[in-house]
Amino acid sequence: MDYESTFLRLEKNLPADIKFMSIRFDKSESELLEIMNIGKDDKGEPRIKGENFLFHSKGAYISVVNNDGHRGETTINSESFEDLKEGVLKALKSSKYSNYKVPFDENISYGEGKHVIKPEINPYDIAPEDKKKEMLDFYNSIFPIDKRIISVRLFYIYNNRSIDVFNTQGAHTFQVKPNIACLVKATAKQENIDYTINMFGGCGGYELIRRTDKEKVRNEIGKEINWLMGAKPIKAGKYTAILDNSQSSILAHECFGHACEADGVQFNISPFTKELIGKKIGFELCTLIDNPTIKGSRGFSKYDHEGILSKKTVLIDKGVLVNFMNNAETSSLFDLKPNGHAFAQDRTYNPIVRMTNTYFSPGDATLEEMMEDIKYGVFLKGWKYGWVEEIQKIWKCQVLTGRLIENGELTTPIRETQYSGSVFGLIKNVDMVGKEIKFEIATCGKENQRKPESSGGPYLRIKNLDVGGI
Amino acid sequence: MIADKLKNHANKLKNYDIQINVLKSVFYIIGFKENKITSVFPKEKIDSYVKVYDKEGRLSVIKKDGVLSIDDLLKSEKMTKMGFKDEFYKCLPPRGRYEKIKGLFDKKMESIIINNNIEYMIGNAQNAINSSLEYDSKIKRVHGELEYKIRKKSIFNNSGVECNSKHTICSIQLENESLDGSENGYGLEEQQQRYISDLNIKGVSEKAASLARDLLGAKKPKEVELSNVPVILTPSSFNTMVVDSIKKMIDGEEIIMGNSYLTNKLDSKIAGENLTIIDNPHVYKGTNSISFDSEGVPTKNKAIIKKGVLKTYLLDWYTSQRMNMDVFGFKQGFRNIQVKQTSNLDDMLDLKEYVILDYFYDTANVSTAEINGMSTGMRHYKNGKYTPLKQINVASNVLNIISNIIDISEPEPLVDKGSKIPKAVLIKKGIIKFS
Repeated sequence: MDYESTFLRLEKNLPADIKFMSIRFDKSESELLEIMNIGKDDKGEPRIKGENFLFHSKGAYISVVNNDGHRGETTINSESFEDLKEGVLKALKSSKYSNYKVPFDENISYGEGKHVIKPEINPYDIAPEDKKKEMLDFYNSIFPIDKRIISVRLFYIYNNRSIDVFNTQGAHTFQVKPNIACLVKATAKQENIDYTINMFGGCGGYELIRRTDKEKVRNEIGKEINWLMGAKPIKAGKYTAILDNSQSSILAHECFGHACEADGVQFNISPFTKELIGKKIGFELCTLIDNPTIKGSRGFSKYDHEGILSKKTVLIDKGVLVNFMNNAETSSLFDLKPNGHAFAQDRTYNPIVRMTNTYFSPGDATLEEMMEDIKYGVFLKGWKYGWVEEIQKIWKCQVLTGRLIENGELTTPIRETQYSGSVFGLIKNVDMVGKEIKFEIATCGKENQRKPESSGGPYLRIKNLDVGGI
Repeated sequence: MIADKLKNHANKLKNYDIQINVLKSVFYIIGFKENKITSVFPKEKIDSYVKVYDKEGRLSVIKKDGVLSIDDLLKSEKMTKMGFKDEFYKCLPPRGRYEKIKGLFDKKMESIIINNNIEYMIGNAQNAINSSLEYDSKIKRVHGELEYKIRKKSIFNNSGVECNSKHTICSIQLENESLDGSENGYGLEEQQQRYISDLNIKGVSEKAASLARDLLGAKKPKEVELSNVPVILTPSSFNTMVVDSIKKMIDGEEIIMGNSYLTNKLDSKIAGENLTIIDNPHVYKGTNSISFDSEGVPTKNKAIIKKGVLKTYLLDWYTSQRMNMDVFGFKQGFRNIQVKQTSNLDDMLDLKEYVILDYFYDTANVSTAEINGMSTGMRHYKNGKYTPLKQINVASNVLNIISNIIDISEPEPLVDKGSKIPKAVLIKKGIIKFS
């Protein structure tokens, strides 16, 4: 399919009352394998159930801005010229019912270029039987970690998505991006039952699965199960808390990342405002970055889904708010340089401002230094999920497990808990930042759209953290 | 047409069991932010998928955004090699009789969508915004979404199942923000109906606005002393804390894997005698009413918890075969939840002190049944007045909650048509901890 000539034909026939048109041709193919044990067989061995899926999606998303400055949009699962032409008229018709004037910059700099990431090992080149065996071997290697493990669920997913963006302001970007991930959920039983979740992968092919240090993954599962099986519920209260890498990652995402999305600022659902840019908002060791350019990362992007070059963006620099992640609309509104952060889940969605790889910069403290003067605190470890309630500007993070810290030592393991707060309440209470940064991969949901991303952080020490419990 | 072609081909493949689902959706989404209509988004979508099981029960699935082709079917046959031998995947649900449910389709809505009568929908969206803003001068910002959808569903398999249905869904979700100086308040309300004319736009707007007004200035107090106060669960917090938690805990796969706290608890007492929850998929005009589930299994009216006793697990065709139990068409989960009333709201509010727990989005841990989450909006009633609160930690155990229900009120009329979710469920003091 020659998308360029199709777009040029549409542009040539553009109705006079359209001042801007953008078309995203969006094609995606995925495969998924799920393995779980359904009971046990006659010999007491786990009885395996497996399902494998293939998903295909292909079509176009069309957006127009009419001469009155109002936007209309639609999506079609066809690439034919006639269907696209009809789609443009449908989008134009929709635009006439909007009473919102889209901030619009005629001189915005859109990208022109191609970026194709080829997986070193294309999963489709591996014989299905071999892939299945490899996954099953890994799956079966989870049970021997700990005899208390009663069930394991493994998901493997590979997605290859190609996106062509054209618009009437000169954008022509083409990007092909593969993404791969593996998730393991292990449930164990002793006096209580509880589970742990581990996930790995990134932007690339099957090589990322093969290169992952599986022993390390198994060790982590074993450690978390060991903590969970002897864990006690925590008493709710204000604690001096140390967050491990996965918890500081989720904090970077939920607490600060969403607050730095410019569409939230635009509609007053972020705690930040344009006027705060350049102002000190908290602890000087706090530096937050969103970087789509990290090769091999789950959030990697060369161009966003509006055809703008995705750029590394420092959001908070040593406690000073310096920028927001933006799309074409918000960069125009706030007079910021476009940084290419507009993404859509698939061809049926509009691009909205999203994170890519969001992380805190490392500091200089060791875990021992962070713990040494804590008389009674908590160490929080392993993520489950988090969310932010934007209008009330409150976020929360769910914690897998942890330990009490008593007189500078890790003591009693604690069960699932959560902590919450406001951005400004939290940032002034961070007082130590760890040396080493690690990333977690995840999927973020916003406005009913899901997006693969990663977030990272060093160990963080936070005073007066509001931790839930009995 | 599409379905017929695929069906003919599927019937030729004698060595495989095949199930094909085709879902065609046409919908309009009208989005509004800060009192303005920011997005008018018409969409059309065909989702189709084919499940192929070979003679050894190895399964493969192909899902497509669009129409399945014969090539997809052939590819799916090959992919079964990646599947796992499984005797319980050998057969598909047999041909079933299903009850035809009236009131699932709104011809008026079809004509609106076919004729692109967007004005009608825009008018409804504008009414929603205006009704909220006019309700109270402190309501300053209205965000939300109005969605109209027509769906046509076809399912068939080569053991003789063939089901076709057509239904409509209309929904509105509104978020209101009240402002007074530096203080704000938040109100969220939503509703789903089959028919456009049944959507209570004004009612939903006013409810969201009243919540935003009532929560204006909500704060987290320095000391939270609420643990010895009876608690009222609102429809949304009851849905999340109890219905969604139980749904996850009785899921067939979690039960078979032994992951759930409710494994081996069928026909056991798990709640107080005053709790009876029924799922009725056949309610007239019910938002979620279906005759058959996505595997083509006829759905049934079924008690989930009867007088405190767990009466069913949530089984699909596979898990029911594996557990050698009857199947009730639960592949798509609960449809129209009916909670038996034991009292009425006016009588329940005749208390000197209570807490209304709302805006709670966390469900129980499937394995421990423990709930450890946060409410972003609560109200504490004492000495004749309400104090709005936010960011309150909430900890409990879902089985402890449902064993300590004092009373269950009449259903909330604004909730989805078909469901009977109580306006209020009163829980004994000390069961839910707040901090």
